[in-house]
Amino acid sequence: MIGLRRALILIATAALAAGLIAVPVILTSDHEPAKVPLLVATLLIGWSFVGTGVYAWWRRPRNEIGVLMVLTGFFWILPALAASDVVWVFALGSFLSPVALGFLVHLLLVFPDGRLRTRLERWVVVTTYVVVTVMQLPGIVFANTQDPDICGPDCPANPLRPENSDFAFVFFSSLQALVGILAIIGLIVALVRRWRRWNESTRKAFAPVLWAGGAVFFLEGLLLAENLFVRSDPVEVVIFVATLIPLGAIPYAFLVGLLRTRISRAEQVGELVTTLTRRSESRVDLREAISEALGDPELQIALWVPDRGGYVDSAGRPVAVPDDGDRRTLVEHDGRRIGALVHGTPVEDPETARTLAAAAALNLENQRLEAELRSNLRELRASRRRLVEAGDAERTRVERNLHDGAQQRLVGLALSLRLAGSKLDDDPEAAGELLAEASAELELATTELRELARGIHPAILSDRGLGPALEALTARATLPVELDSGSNGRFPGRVEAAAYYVVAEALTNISRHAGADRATVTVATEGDDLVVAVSDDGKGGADPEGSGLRGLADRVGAADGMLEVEDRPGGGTVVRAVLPIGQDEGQAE
Amino acid sequence: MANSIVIIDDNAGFRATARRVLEAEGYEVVAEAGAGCPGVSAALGSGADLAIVDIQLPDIDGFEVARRIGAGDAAPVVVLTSSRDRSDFGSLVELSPAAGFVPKAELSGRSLETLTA
Repeated sequence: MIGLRRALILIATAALAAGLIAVPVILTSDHEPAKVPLLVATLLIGWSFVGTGVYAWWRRPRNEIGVLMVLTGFFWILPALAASDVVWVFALGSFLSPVALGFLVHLLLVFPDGRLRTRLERWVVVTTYVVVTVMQLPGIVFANTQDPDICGPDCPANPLRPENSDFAFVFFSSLQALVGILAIIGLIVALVRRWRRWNESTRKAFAPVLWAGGAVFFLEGLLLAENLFVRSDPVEVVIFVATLIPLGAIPYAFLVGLLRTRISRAEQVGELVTTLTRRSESRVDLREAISEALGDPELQIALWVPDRGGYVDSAGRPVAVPDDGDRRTLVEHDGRRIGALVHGTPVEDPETARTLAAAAALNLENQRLEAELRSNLRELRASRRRLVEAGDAERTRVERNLHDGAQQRLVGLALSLRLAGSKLDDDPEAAGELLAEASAELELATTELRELARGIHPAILSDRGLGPALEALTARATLPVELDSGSNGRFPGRVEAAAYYVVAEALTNISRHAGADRATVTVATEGDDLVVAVSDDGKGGADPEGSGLRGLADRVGAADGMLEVEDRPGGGTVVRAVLPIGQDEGQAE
Repeated sequence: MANSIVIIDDNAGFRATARRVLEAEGYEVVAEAGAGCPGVSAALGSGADLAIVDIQLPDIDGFEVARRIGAGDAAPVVVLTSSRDRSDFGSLVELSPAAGFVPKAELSGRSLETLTA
């Protein structure tokens, strides 16, 4: 900040020096007819722009407005060189005489936030710069400086001017005037469009600048038209002098504008705070209040949910927040991210948006907590629904397995036994065969029932605990499994069941999808948690959102645990569940 | 007495056992089908007297099979069967054009005669 202040003092000193140099140049001029009025206009307007510009630059270092005001001021003073009787200094001064207008146009179009927004605005600025620089050059080359219409007999003769270049001068200066008029029309259209977009408070802040700037460029346009069509000295002088009044007012209008922006910002914040305390703090009100204050009917509020690492709306639904700084204002409270205002149209005055966001931060924080709760509730409801659906699907599967398997075998068995019974007397041999078949069928039915029962719930898990149940499970697996069961004690039922099904489902997934040669199961207690991990050496790429793993995550979540699925660096997948041991349901609370 | 039979059931094991039981009691099994649609064709094309139709079939259910067979010319009498209990189907059995229902485990010539008498 000290660097900026020193630089600004330097700039102010340089402007002062430039003005002081202009004094002898103007006063000793042989060809300048109105020395004192020119000097007064040069210094008054030039220093006003630099002075107010330095102030604006200091107050808003990141806003281009201060820079543009300083440049306008300097380039207003520099054309005083045209009063010099030294030909090259005279030529340089003449060349620079319209440049300040370029900066002024730019200034008008970036007020108040320092940014150009539309293609028209960019076109106007670029065209004006071309008109006041590139298009000024042919005039300098071809001007007959001793023509009273251009400068006068006492002015230094133009050493660059070729013979018979009157037509070229008229052609190029008319072209410059025409394009200049087009640019001014563009400027007026762009300003009207901006005006329409603004809310009442921005309009109030901008009005002085608009009237002063509009007047200057209206008169500039008249001057250009006069140059093209009338060419009368007295008219020119009247217009020029008339231009000085609004031009001199512009820097102060900017200052008033900046000040009013601040005042109106304070008013807006005040209104918002009153609104927030008066109305009930429901979310619709908050959005409406900020939307009204910013004049952005499409404003949306996005609330940050750290657990999700993303934003949600007030109903807890995920929302996208654009990266573009024009489209969103981040809201923080005590250094923590709370949310963001998502703007319907690019924000005109980011500082006001930030101030309003800061004023509403506390209300937003309440809303954020509420949204976080809703979001968690939504997830909880979804997982509850999935658990019930998974339960229903499991019952359907068991019913179908029973019906298609064991039940069919028993039906067949009943028929075979009756048939055997009917043949016992007449054909004992056939009856014997039928009985042998029936016995084999009965064995198959028994095996199927056993498998099915174990699938519903492994008895060994409830009888002997997790360690023996996992030993039995891994021994039956279809691929070699290394079991490292570090803890053989008993755990609450829901913890043992969750751990067991994590291993069972992971092993099923591995044998179905992973293309693995072997798997490793580790069970360990870490602090108050039971940690179960199943890893394989397969191809990896398991989808944590797939129904199998999703169901496992729900089951682990129901035991207050967390499930992680990761690809291992060397290939393969690790499924890891961290289950808080806590107390069993019966003992809990 | 009706003595030529078509068996429509998707369980091959049951079809084989049913065939042995019924043949032992003097019936002639003229066709078998593992699904509803081919079952309807077999029942109507074989000129059989009786069709034993499982209610749960992979394509159309046994009630629909009974309806389609009943709509044909010289249609065989349909007897529905299932390894489930009759009460599991509510009033669907009564509403269908089938002559009746026999639990699979109780399938025999006598039970069929009782129903078709």
